[in-house]
Amino acid sequence: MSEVLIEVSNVSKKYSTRNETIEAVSSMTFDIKRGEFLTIIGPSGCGKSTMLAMIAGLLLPSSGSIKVEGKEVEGPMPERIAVAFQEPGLLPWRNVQKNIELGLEARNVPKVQRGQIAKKYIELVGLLGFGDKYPHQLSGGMKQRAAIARCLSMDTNILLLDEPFGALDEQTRLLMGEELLKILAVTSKTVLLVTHSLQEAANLSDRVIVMTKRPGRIREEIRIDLPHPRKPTDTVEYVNKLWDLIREPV
Amino acid sequence: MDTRLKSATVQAVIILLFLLVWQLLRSWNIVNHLFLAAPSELLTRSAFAAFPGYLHYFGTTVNEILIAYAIAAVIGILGGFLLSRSNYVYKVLEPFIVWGYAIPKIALFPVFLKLFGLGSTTVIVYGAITGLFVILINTVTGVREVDSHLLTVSTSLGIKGTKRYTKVIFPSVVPAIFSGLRQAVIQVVLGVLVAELVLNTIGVGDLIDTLSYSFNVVDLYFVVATVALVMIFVNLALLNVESRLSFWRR
Repeated sequence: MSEVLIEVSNVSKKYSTRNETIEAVSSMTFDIKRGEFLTIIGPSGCGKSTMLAMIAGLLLPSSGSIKVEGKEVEGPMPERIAVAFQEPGLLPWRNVQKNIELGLEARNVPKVQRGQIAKKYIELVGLLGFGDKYPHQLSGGMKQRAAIARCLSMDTNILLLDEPFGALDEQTRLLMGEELLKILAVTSKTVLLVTHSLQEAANLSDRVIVMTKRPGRIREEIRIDLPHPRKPTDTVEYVNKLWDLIREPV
Repeated sequence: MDTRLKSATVQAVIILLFLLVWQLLRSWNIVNHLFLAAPSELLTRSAFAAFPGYLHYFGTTVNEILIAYAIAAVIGILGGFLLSRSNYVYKVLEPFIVWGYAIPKIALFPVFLKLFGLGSTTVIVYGAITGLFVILINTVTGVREVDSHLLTVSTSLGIKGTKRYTKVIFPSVVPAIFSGLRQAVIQVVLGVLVAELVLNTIGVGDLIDTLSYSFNVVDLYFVVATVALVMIFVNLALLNVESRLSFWRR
């Protein structure tokens, strides 16, 4: 068995509002191994995005521990983890190239080198020729490509994807997923994807964790041992299985 | 382009009609020459000849406007940033700004007069106060409306400390601040002219007042038209800069 990169043990997250305490995530334990593509799905509001944000170090767990590459998560670790969200979060006053360079600027990478790195990933995500375009000049899918290029430019082992294609139409979403796999094949990343799309989960993942309704716990884990690229027809059986797990009350 | 040309033509016609009506009010003697000078009279050599004699009034006024404006801009922008640094400070102090904005500054004029005397100081302080609030409010609103998702994404990329300000917050706020600065030009000019007019210290406000009660009608309208034209062009220039600075907002 290969090395564990992300280790989540007994993690819970509670939010306090004025009159009640809500438990968003309840004692989740799982790990992700090097090179693995793990997807978390679950009904909306089940805490799957909260779980991802905790691994990203953007939220702290109420209890339990999260280790990334053996190190306890206490805040964002941009040198180990890159995150892409549903909203691309591009700085609107920067062009694509400069947006991709943002994370490198945080690391004080020299200008010339930043430019070279950005160009490389612009090409990899299929945005060649769009480096000098501004976000408002791009389609939703292109913005998301730029956001993914920005993630990849961080050159981390781990990629966290929080519904990155959630705002795109079904066709674009499936195409982007396929392209993502091609990109991952050359970059060898460990990926955690959070999505509400069963099809996306079945097409992309090595393993899927299905969460229950709030408070989110692990309902079941499903391994998908199919070769890539997978067509929607290849994964019907898995999609059905996931659907049953989401639909049936525990 | 066609519609722009059309509306420009209509605008030109409106301006010509306005000038024509103005001219006819005098040519047909509908309004007495003691109260109104015709546009044709403003374009005569004698009107232009008298103007250099008034230049030092303009010099004093421009000087007062610049000082008052600088004070308003520095206090407004710095104050705006300090105020929006923490939610608590903002909650406590926000009402004071709203109240300060609501108070008609002219009602406080006697107070300024008592505090700063009959001279230039009162003019400058009054001008600065009239311009201050629009800058302050625009800056505060701008900082508070920085897209929180951009901040989350930047955090995950490792942007923190000073870089958070220089790379994310400040560029987001530039259009709002500039919009405040543009509106403040009009406010400060208004404040300074009113103060000069009331105090009869040397300046364009006083000049207008003096020319008015000495029935020097042609010179009066010449000065007023000069002020109006200068302000129209200053505002147009600033609007142009503003739209360049906020190109990414649409």
